[in-house]
Amino acid sequence: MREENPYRPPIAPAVGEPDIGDIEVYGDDARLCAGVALWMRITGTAYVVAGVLWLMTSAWLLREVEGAASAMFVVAWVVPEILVLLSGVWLVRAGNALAGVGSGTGTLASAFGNLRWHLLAVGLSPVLQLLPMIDWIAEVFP
Amino acid sequence: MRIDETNEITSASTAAFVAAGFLVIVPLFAIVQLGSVPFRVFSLLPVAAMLLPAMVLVLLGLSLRASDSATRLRSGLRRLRVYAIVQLTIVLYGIATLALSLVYP
Repeated sequence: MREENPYRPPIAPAVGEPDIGDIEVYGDDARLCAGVALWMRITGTAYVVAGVLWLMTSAWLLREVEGAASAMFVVAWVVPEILVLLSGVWLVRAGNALAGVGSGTGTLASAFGNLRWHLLAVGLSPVLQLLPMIDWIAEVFP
Repeated sequence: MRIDETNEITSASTAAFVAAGFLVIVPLFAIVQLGSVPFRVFSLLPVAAMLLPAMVLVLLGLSLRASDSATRLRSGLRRLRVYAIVQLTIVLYGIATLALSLVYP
């Protein structure tokens, strides 16, 4: 049987339904949060860089697209790019909140709240990008 | 905010990733069938880019579901780290591809 460390109170939520806001984090768990937060910040920053680069490319391409094609271009390219950019910002914010869990400057509730927005944006982005493919798939498989 | 709320969003995002993954797979198989481009392992990268995060998100969602135990929450945090690393790899691949397409249009 594993011996419990008396200096490391477990991260246990309050009695009843779990509420992340009630959870306090100490010791090894705080270090785990800080480690995860670091990766989230790095990945979030990479997302922002990718979003900016992608937007710059699209702004250049948009000049050559006209009419109805430009509307689809905006929906299938520009909006997902903005979502990618925003998802990076939310991931960095989630990482910041998670990093501050041990010191009391952040909460798990804030971290998971921002993560939720990141996941929504990052899940919606590829679906929008694939919208123009629907017509093409219908042509290939009539 | 309750853990269940985060889990619901994780599930929704997982569904979006899986749907996107399948949307990528279908045209890829069509391309292979039509023989317009040779089938290469390289073609599978976009599929992996959609399905890998989806798989990690499924695990993350399972960890957060009914995570009234601290062990599950710790496990969720570790899976969150895996998710961040997988996403970082994919984003760096995306940046590299974009940069190459700009240098060699």
